[in-house]
Amino acid sequence: MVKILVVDDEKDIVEILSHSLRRRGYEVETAITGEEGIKKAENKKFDVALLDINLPGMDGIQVLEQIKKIDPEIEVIMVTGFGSIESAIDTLKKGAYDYIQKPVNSDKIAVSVEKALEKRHLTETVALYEISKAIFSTIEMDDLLKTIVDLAIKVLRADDASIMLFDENERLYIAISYGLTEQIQKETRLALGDRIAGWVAKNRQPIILINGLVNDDRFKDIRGREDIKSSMIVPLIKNDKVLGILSVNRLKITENFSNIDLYKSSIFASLVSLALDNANLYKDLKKTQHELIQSNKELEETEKETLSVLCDLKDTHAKLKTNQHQLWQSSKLAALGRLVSDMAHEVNNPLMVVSGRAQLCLMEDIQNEELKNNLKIIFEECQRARDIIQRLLKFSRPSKGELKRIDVDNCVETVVNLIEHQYSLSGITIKRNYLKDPPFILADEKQMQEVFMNLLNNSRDAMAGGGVIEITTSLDNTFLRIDFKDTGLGMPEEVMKMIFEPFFTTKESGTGLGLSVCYGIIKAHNGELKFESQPNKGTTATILLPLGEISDV
Amino acid sequence: MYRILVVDDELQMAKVLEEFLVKSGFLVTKALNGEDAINILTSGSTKIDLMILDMKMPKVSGMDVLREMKNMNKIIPAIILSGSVDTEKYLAGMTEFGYASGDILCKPVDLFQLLDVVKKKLGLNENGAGK
Repeated sequence: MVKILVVDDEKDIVEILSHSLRRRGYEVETAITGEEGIKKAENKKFDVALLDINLPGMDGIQVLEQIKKIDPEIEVIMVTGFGSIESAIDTLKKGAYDYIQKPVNSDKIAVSVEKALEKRHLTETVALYEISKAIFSTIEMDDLLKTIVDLAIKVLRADDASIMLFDENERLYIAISYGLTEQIQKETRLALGDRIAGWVAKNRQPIILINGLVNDDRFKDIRGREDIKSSMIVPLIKNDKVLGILSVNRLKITENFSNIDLYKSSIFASLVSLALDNANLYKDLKKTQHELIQSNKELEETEKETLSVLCDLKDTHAKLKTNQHQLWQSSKLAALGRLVSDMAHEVNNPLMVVSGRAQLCLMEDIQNEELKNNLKIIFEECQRARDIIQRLLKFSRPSKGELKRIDVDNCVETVVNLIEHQYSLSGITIKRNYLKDPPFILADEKQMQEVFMNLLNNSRDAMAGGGVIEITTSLDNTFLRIDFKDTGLGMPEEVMKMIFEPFFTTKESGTGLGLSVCYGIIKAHNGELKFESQPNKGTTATILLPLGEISDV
Repeated sequence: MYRILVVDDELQMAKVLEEFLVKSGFLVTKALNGEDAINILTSGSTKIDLMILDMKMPKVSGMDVLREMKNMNKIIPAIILSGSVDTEKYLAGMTEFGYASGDILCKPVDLFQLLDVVKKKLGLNENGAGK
């Protein structure tokens, strides 16, 4: 029921007003002085006050200020006499809703009261709107709880407020509170049904308690706070689930919570529940997002690691393959080397006896030319056998020989000078792409020249109809690179696989030792010898030799 | 007449060297092992002007012979015949016993090439005989 307070020192007017208002269904209380009016406003909540501007003692303007302080929501209509229009306008600035001039007309009064009530209603709606705006602009749980408690105190006109939420064990704890000690806040844990908050949570029903707990049979065994005059405990429910409990208490405000407050609180609670639910969702979302980011990071990290391991693995595999090949090649060569060395030693003695005997015979005066010739052939073939063995031994035990600082361009050029004329007769031209002023390498010059000669001869043999040999020197990391590129027959893959095999040859008169020897020499210099070839297009032989260090000089 | 000691454990090798050197005008004494060579060199009954020494022999090797002579302070001019080109391992020992690396020849050796070295070692001119 709408409550109206009428304050006027003229008893007649008070009577007229209260009669007419009661007739319209309002609950009316009256006061003769400003002081009395203020006292009534302190103890009861009114919706509208009618206030005479000219009161004895405390005047109407002062009373207006006091009442507004007690209850900011109350709508005050000033009643003024002649000549106080200016003061009436002044009251509007101080928070009065309207003013009515005497003599009072009861219809006029009723219209103004109704308008005031309408405005009050509107104000409440606006207030709710403002509340929802405040609540929903906050999504972080801690900030939200603080906003809710502040708003609850303001909107429900309470002196303190607290919110309880459920912990992971489904027990109520105090999430935020004004008016409770930190000790209590920390220690309080309630099971469903425990104490008042527990009862409210279990029964999903808001309650108002007046003058503590003594008057309520439900809680007669519970000791409450002595300082509380009235309190309201409201469940916060969303989607049929109790999220928590809102408690508001009045300590200094003497007026007790009423059913209107309970109604207001239920609207407030539904807004709060929605906001809490949102905040919970947001919290979960943030947690999930955080976890997602974290796991994404971990995933990226793992991916990076995996990739690098894979890369390493690939590298290692490639190196292993190369090493394996080199190891196989060199172990094969080493085994062969030992065999050749032993064999050479054993063969050289009989070979020398044979050639020696042939020489001895030739020292005789032999008339038979054919015999003489035969002996010569025996001797010459022995020499040839010796040469083969010498070369075999050279490749089987390649030594670095005599290491000197070598200018590779000069070294190549010396060999090219030797052969160029002869090659040109076979239609072969030589193109030079020398690295001018190349860094030195440490090598045995004679051995290097043997290698170059060998490679050049192979190119020549592959270009029976003439062609071009292109010699290029360049830098390749810490290696000096020499390419011999020809436009000859090239090699099929089967031949490529065999080229370093001792005794493998495609030439009619070859020993099959040329490239084996080259390979041995380059290896002994910590270098590399490799071939690229395309049948009918040509072959490129590449030598890589480590650059000499200054300290090697 | 210069006398040359031919030391080789292979009889055919020793014989071909002997025949060639005799034909070339030298006196030749053969030894088919290191022990015999040392005996001949140290007994003093036969004066040896030069020896042609095989390196690889069972028991007492060519190197052992050189060492023994060095120990007895009897340095006799020597030409070493090696069965392999791997002469590096002999070089240190050779130098230590007072021989130059040029005194090593690798088998099989052209007999006339050997003759040149023999003559050079004995201080004969190229056309001179072994007298």
